[in-house]
Amino acid sequence: MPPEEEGLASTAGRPRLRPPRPDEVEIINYFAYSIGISPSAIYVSIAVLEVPGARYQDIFDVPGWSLEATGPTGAFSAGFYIGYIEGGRFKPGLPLAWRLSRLCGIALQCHEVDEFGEKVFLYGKPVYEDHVRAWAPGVSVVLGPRGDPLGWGRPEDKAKKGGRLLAPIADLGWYLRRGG
Amino acid sequence: MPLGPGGLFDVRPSRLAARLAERYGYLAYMIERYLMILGDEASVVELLEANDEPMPESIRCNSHLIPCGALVELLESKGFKLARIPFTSHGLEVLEAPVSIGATHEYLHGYYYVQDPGSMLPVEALEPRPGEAVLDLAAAPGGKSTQILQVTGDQARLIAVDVSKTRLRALRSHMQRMKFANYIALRADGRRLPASIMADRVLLDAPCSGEGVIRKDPTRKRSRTPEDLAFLSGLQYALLASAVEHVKPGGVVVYSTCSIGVEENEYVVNRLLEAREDVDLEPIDPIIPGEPGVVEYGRVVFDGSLRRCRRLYPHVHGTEGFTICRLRRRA
Repeated sequence: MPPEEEGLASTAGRPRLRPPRPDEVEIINYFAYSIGISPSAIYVSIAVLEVPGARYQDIFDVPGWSLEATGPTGAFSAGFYIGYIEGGRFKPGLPLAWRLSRLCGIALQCHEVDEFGEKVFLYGKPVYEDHVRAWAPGVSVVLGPRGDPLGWGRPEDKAKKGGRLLAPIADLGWYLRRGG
Repeated sequence: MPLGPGGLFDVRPSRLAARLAERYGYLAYMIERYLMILGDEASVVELLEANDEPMPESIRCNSHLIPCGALVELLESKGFKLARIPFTSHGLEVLEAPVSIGATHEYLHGYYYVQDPGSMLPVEALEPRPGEAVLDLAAAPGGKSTQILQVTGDQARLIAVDVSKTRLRALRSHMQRMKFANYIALRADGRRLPASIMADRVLLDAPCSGEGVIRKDPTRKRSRTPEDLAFLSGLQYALLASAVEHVKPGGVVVYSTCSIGVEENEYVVNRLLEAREDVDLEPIDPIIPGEPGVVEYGRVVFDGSLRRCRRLYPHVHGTEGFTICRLRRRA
């Protein structure tokens, strides 16, 4: 059997897309409220990608037809990726930063970095406060100098020198670091 | 159809083919086939010379996120020079690049996909519309799947199928980067899909020898044997038969490969026409360039309607080698 076809012979053990459990919805809603927005800004219809043995579950905002379309076939992904749940916490994904960036300055306080800060952030490195133009109080979307969403970050205190920095949680540079 | 000794997969190279093969570094059987397809030495030499010219880089602007003119301005402000590819709706050739075109902020934002021009044409031939169910049967890494959602404004209901977990990861990443949502990706063998999956349009950009992309990968001059072609041809036929099974009556199937091999294109489609009476070849929008499909190949004569397929050649069209056929299942 060619390596590509491994695991295709049986449906057992394959990832499947399923509706969320109430506790999973609660975790995502908690995240929404913690950054100061309504859950409806994040999703319309959630589905969870259940991967047997995985430590985390990917969460998608899916079009209604997609759950019916899968049948017994192994789903791999679907709809708009919003993030994942690991250890009872929701970790926001990069497409969600783009979706919520339209709310920056309206319903959501966002971080904003300058041109140098953008480069540093996209390398997955923390941005020192000299290059942060605007701060949100906690975890939020990070915008570049032209208002483009760059990912997610949170303010952290610098341990030795005082002051603070913007620590990346997820940044667009990941698309390159994972191999394009 | 002659398939045994002296038949489709048993090509005996002539002296001319052997001489050209040695000069340009190919397996001789490949050159003999080019002589059969193109008909004369001069055209074959032009093809071989063009195959030695590196392929220029090109991108498909993601009009779902940014107007193409605005993307050109953004990239040109950073030192890129771009030119519109005339026969594509969203294609741009990269004339000058100060950094890798796959490593810009604009790429990370999902404003474009790095794609060869010939590869942009199957979706143009498919003509997907908003609201339709579209099946992409060999979908990963996602160039054509993202294009289907792009041209329908993320409004087609796309089922993207591929057998490879690694390539599906790339598809998922491109979908996320380019902000498309109206799809489901299934890891499955396209020859064995559930009968419940039925689509208005099916795209099969089939796994192939890659004979058309020698400009990008010169190892293809010598890496595929006639036995490989016979294997691929069988796989392609099985996938095409499945594509027709999963298109609704009245629906469209586009079959394409990045190969100019008759064994991987006209022969595969001809087999399907022989096996099914409810499928016809359709003309392709004349804006899409290409030479007519091959209907006579050595001792083999195919259905005359195969002229409706389009063949793109590096020496004629400046693209990679590519073949596209559009079929319709009768209502």
